[in-house]
Amino acid sequence: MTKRDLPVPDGPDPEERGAVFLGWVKKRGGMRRIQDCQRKCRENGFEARDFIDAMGQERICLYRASGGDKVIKLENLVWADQWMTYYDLEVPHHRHWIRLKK
Amino acid sequence: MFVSAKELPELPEELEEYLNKPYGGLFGNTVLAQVVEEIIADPTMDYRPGYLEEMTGKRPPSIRAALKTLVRLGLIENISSDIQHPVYRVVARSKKLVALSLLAYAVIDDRDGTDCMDMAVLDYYNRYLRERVEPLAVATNYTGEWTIRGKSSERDADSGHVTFGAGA
Repeated sequence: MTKRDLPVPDGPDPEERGAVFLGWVKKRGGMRRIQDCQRKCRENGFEARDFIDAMGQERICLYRASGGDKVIKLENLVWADQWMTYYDLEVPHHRHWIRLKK
Repeated sequence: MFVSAKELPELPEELEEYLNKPYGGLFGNTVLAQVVEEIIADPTMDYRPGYLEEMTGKRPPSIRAALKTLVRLGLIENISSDIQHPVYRVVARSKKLVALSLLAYAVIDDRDGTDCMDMAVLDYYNRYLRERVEPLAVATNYTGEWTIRGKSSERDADSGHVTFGAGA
């Protein structure tokens, strides 16, 4: 089963590197401090704030934690799940890993 | 877009404890658990110790010790030929990698009442297991549709959670 076999999910396309970021947030409880997210996004070649703006705050949103830290929280898990599935990032597997490293 | 912290919505108090505890605190908050969570969260990346020090805020000796443990346990391997500059990558054939990913989803599901883990299990089955256990079905009957599992679970329908159905 490849990406081409799947229907394109609804909502903005995070692209593969954005879907990797969504997976990273999701597997860390669905939220992380913005500093960690910025570091992670830079590693993937984009800016966290630009990504939030592009995807929409109803899908991924900034919050304020009690200590004053800004936190990025994944709001729409269904949307994230669909794009992670589309890019084959939901569950790691050696075939997927080999494809990514090509 | 710059928004000051004061203008932002407040994170619900009950969620704050999940911010710094790997897997919702299931394994404590050790360096090892933090490194495992970081690596499992993005298994596509090659990891240098310095990056993990930065992301966890932990000191180099403890990160080195954690990485050494994970190599010994077969979750990661050093792919660098330079002994001074190790680079680690997940061992993709490790089933622990898959199981820990599912655990990460289960933590959200138990907290929020979602179905992330079930969806991942189904995706894993459709992509990697189905052709082994249902070879004929895979060869002859593949619909590739997004379906809502309303018939099998009312909660699924209520949440609007959408599952990829292979339609066997």
